Amino acid sequence: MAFLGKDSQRPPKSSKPRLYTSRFDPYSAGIRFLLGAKGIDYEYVYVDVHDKPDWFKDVNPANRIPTLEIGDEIVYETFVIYDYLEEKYPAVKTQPADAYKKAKDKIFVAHTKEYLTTKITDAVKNFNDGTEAIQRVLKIIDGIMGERGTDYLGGDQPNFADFYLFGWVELLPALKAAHESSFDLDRKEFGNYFAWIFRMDKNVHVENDRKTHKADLKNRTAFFKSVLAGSPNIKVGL
Amino acid sequence: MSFIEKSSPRPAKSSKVRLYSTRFDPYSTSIRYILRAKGIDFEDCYIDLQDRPDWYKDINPTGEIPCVEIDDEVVPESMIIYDYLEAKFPSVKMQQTDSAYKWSKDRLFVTRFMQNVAPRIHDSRTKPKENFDQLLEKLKKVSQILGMRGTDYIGGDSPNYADYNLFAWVEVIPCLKAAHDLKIDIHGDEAYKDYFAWVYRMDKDKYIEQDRVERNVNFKTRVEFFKTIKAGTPNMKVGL
Repeated sequence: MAFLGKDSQRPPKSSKPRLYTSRFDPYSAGIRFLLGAKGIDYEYVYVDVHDKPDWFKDVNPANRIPTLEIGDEIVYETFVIYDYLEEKYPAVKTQPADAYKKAKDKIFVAHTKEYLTTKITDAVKNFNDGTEAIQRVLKIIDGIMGERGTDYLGGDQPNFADFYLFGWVELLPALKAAHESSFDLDRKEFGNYFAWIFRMDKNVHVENDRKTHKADLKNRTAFFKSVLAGSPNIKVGL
Repeated sequence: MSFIEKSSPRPAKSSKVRLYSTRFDPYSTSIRYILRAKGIDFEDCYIDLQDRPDWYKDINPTGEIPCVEIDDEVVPESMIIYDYLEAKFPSVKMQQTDSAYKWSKDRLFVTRFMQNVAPRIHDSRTKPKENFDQLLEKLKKVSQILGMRGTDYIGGDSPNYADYNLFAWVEVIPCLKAAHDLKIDIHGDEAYKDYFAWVYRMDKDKYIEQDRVERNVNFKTRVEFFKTIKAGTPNMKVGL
């Protein structure tokens, strides 16, 4: 699998949807789970985010992954990609049909982005200082899951909000291992959250993604260790 | 419309759509334009952000405005409000339905504007000198994009949510200029040609005009309001 860095060429147009991504990127993870759930046959390209190719700005002026390219249609910004895919591939729904239920899920995702993702990003370099703040947010999420009383935020099946959240929280066990931390959440206190994690961990699209990108706990941990060592190794485990 | 202070009781449920907002902020203004364009009957509840009532956290836990309330349904966050109103009141469309891609182009325009340009406008309220130059540079890019689209509005022949969102923010720029007495004039500059052509059309939009008249929020009252911010004592009630 090619890792496209500074010395690479822009790949030629594809007949399939193409996702510009990187193996361990949590924003990409949610989109990849969703692409799987919607049954979309797509190809992916790894952009070396530590050595971005100059041509990537022509694909996405914001110069970020994930970026989705379907023929001449280029879409970026995670939230926009979710909504675009929902419109473009309506056969498998990943958002509620009801206006208010959809709004609640979007608020959940927006709050996850604002209150959780930044803390997890900070925790990459500084895990032990960050666990308390992360725990507080997870407590709120546990509460929301309890209130909803369903297996997933999406009800009987995971939806975009489940995939978005899982793409981020699956980093936590790897960060814990990479930092050799003894941090643990109380399984009873976070009962709803752990039950949800247990289900998501076995989700077929999550498992496929791990297999496809060799992005399992072992490799993710090794990747974070390489980040901590100052030389991120995006090819770890390959 | 009502002004809510710390001691105000929580207003009773309304038959209309209720918008918890402030009188002058562009986030709320944008939603008002869209409510009007969609023909939705609504009422404003202006919240004093320096002195929020305790019950507001029960409505919106983050305490932020704008926030829309329809019976038991409460929706905060501008972009989410746009989508919620679009789904709830589908007869007048404010978003592209031609194709998923066309829709995504508008959404990306709004998203990137809010990420890259709106903060410059916001910060110019208190620090104009540090922000105005950058802001004007970014407006050139906006002008280019409007020009490339080649239609009267981002929405095509009539304004859509992307037009109203953009206008709600950029209409405060001349007010900031006046309030801070900045000697800058970009009107004759070719780089802003498409931008000003669009501004000129939006300025005459009947829903925007309706909003100005009904709420007495116009160039004059905005300048007055910005001056009160500059003086350190924000007064939402100017001109009333």
